[in-house]
Amino acid sequence: MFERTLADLVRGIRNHKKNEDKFISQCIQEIKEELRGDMSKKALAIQKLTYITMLGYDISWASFNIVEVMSSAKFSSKRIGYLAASQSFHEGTEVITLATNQIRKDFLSNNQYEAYLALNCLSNICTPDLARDLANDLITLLSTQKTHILKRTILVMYKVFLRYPEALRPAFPRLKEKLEDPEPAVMSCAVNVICELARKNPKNYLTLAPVLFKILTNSTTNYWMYIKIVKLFGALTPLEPRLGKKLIDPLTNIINTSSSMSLLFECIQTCIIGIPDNLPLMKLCISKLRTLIEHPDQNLKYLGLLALNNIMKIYPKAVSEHREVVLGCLDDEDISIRQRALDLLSGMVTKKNLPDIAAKLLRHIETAEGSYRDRIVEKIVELCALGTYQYVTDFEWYINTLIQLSEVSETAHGPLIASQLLDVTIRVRVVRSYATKQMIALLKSPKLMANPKEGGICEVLYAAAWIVGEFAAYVNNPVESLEAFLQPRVSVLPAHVQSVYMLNALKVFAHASAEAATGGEHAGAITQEERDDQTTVVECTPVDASTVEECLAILHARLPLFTQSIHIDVQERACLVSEILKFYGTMRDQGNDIAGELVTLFTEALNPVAPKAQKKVPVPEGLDLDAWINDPKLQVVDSDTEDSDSDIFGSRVDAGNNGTNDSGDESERSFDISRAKEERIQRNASNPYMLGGGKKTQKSIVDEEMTHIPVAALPANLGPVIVGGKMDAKKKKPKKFTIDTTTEMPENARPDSDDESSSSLHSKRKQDALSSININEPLTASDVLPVARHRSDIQREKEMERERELAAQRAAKRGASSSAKSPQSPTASVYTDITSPEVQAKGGKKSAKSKSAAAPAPAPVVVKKAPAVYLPITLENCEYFTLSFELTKVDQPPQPATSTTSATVPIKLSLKVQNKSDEDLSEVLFTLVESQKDKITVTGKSSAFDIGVLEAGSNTTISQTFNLATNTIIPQLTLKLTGTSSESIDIDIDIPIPMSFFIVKTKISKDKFAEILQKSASMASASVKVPSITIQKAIEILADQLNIEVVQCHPSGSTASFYARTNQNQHIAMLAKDRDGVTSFDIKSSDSSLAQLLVKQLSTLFLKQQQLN
Amino acid sequence: MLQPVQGKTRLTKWYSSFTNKEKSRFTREVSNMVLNRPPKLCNFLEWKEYKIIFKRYASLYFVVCVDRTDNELIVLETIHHFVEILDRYFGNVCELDLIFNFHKAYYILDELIMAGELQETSKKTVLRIMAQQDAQQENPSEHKVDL
Repeated sequence: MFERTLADLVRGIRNHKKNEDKFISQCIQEIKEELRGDMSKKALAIQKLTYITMLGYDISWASFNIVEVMSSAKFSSKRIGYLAASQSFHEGTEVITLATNQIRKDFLSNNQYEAYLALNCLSNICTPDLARDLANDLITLLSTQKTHILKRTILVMYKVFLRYPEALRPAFPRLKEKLEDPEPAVMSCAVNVICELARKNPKNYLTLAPVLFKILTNSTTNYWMYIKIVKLFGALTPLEPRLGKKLIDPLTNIINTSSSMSLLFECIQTCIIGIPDNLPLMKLCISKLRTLIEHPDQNLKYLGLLALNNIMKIYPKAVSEHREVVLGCLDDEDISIRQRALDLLSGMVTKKNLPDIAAKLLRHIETAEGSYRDRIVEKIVELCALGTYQYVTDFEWYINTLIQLSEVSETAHGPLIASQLLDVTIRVRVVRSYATKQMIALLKSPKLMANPKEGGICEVLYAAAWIVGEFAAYVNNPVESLEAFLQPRVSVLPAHVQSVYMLNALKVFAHASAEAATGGEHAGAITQEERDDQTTVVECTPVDASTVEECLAILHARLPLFTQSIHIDVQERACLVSEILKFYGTMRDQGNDIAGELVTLFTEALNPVAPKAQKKVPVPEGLDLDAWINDPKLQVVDSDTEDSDSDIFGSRVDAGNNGTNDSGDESERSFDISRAKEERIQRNASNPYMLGGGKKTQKSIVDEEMTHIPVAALPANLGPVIVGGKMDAKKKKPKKFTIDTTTEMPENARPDSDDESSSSLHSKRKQDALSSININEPLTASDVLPVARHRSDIQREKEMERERELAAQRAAKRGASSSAKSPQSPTASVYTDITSPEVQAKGGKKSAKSKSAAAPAPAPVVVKKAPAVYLPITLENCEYFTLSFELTKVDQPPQPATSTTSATVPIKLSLKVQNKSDEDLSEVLFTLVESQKDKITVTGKSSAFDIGVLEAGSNTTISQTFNLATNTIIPQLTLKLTGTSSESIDIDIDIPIPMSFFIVKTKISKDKFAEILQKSASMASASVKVPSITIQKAIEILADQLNIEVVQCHPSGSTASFYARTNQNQHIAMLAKDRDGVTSFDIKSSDSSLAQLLVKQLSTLFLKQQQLN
Repeated sequence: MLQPVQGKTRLTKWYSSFTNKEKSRFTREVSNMVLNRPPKLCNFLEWKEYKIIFKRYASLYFVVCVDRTDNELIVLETIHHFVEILDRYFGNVCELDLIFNFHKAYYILDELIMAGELQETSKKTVLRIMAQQDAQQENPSEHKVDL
């Protein structure tokens, strides 16, 4: 047969550039052929495969052949095999276990080259199993004298530690010795490994500091190792301040003298991390970094900026001296360097240079593109907003800058700019007049509307509209702004922007009309205050009645477009606005100008709410957030929140309706649809539990109709409103103007106790198994590594152990004392998790299935790890059989990591059948009923299991393993029992399957639990009451029998919440309460049948519990 | 992970385990990033939670991906070190040498770096061991050549 050499293959692939795939699959075919040949052929084939795998093809099918080649006696083949293994094996490769012995043999081989190969390969393919099995041999190998093997072993140990952390403690003393090895290569390897380990848990390696210090000062020329040691000290010094002081001298020395940039850089990094409080050293570092930044090499420039950034976090001032260098880097052609420089800017700004820097960045925006442009935009805003606008002196300038930013095309920072606009205008009163003017211009700008998509730049319009509306007092020309608000193009904007437009159009109109009514001396509270403050005098063109008419005309003409909007929110607000206007018109026609009232709706100032306000709302005394608001219904009910709401607020709804009728007299001709809609709006508005309408809307309705409706006014200070057990913190305070930086906090805010964020940062250090090992503790007996031994040895040992045990038993018997301990072997440990729910069986005779409900069998509770207990099945109308059964879950072998959820649950059913009649029965057969065959499969040949002949009075036991499909919950296993005597027998047997078989033990945190419950709107709910049982007991029973774990238990011990997950990831959440002699369980589950089933199980379970007591 | 790239990958070595899919995805992403970078810019890139450090030698890019905390300069020097050894071994190395003798290149890399750490800093030692191993591969009779 024609064979390709490796060179042929490579050449072939290069010649078949067009159809590489085809060529390679052809080659693979040939290789498969060759793999059947002798060793040298195989080796060649494997070598070719190695090349192919490099091109990205899968060769896992050849893993076994690779192992074969690895174990070849010829060095050349072995080398090829090991290379292939290191390239293609990974954690999931099963044949690795086959190679364990081969690898051991090779690295202990007399031929050191074979040892090299094995060690090199092991460093690539080390799995936890390999690590465990080989650790002991490797540690022995650490005492070898052969340098090259030694250094490789040291490095391999690092991989072993990663995969099998238990090896660290026994191996550490040897590793430590190697730090002082005379051979520099070995020492360097040891330093490498310890440096890597120390990054995970530096504390362990503090004791090594003296040795390391010696290496550092006894200079060798190997700067590779130097770097590692310096890095290692970087990890150690934060833990031991004294170390820092000792390091100052050597590090200064290195920084000053070293010619190696990499070493210099590493030293600077270590200084920053380890000894930041030594000022002279820091100054030295900064000056060195400056030379790096000014260096023509881009790489050094980049690193210099990076390190400077780290220093800036500690010494902002020290860095700012080098402002001009950093600013110079902003003009660099390399984008990474510009980005680093950008990062540094926040330490560079002052009041003076902020406008210059911003202007410079704005110029950059023009040429920048993509994500870098976005970063500049973000940076400008960040710089200006720094320390609540600490550096901004001219806010008109800032508003202009923001507007300029909004003109940057395709920026992703629309929302950011919008929130800045809002924040600045709210916080800085002086700038409001100016801002309002600019915003009107912005509203008219077609540019922002060009690309209306959510989160885009049109978000700025949201802010603009709000500002114009909220500060309508500064609006000079209401007609103009209303036209801007209601231009038809607005209807393409995102829904939430449109809704803001609607409401703010109303605000503007309200102000205009009020102004007209009072002849310029309008009632706007904001203006009033502005005057008190003696700030900007508002210069308004006089607003008269004709202007108001004009406004009304615009509103009437344009609003219909929005009342038909497809966005429900927009539609709602548009309708609201138009109804209010209608009402306004009606009142005015009657000679009642309510313009003043209209404007008072909007006079209350809005203050920024502090970010932590929500958390700080004190929980009122006597309010238990975990308690149910209504007593849950005791029977099984589907959750329906709508109902309970209407129960409580029914009266309020009526009141709302009355109001509509009153005001609706004049507008009889309005369409039914809008009427219905309006009613809904009114109802929602007056319902404090509806959030959809927005606060202002609710309030306006309530206020306005107050005079008409005989309803007690809402108390001015509602206090925190409880919505579904949550506190609404955005409670408005009575009007109060605040200075720039204050934020709104709820009354009685709790003292600042929630700085956990900073403290938790510390504990965020990655905790893995390796880092949790403490090597400073002395070795104990438990630190023994598994040693591979011959099977016969193990057997012999076991036998001896058994003999010892027997002897002990005999001795115990002789002693015959009651306290003698007989070794209890857990023989029946396979039987776990047995619950014994009621057993129902349907009996039948002569193929006529007379199904009759059987009385629940009084079954004993079976506790974990008890010997098998057969539960009787009561069969009525059946004089032939007594049956009892035992059902257990078969412990599954641990699944490979790839398939976490298995498709089936195996269970084992043992049936004890007794023929109690005096006739012999033949053809006794159990069959799985047809209807369950898709859910339950039988391991083995057929779905029937045969007993054959059962003589009179005799009994037999059979057992069979079933696989339950896990995609549904199967409440019971139905079998058909048939047999023949003088007549044919046909009985259906139902064997209940305990739910615990489907439940996966899951422990979750409180927060996660709350999160699941929040999504529970769509969950089915059910509840059940059982005779009183202490919560503690319930927790025990649930965990034990149903695998349901407790999440949280109320300290009083009267309530507890539980959580469980089925193997199909359906959630089960449960709340247990023990009150007035009754314990109730409220269950929420993503599957309603699951909830029902659980109810059934719980009631039986606890009933039994009571009987037991 | 160490992978010299030139549009087409010539050599990859992974020091952490990944699945084949991940490997090919990473290779694609990284080579795109590196190849699209204009010359004369700095040789460092940030990628996911790693850093990518690359250097171009003739038509070959040598790309190394390391942890964020690692020293960029030393990695550059390691790359250079590797290239120098390749150069000495093959005698003025070129791309074709690496293509046809990819296994040799791997062996050299193994001598130089193990478990992601630099194993041997002396060029001479690496070359000597390589030569001895090669010799053994040619005539297996010459066992146990001690150093």
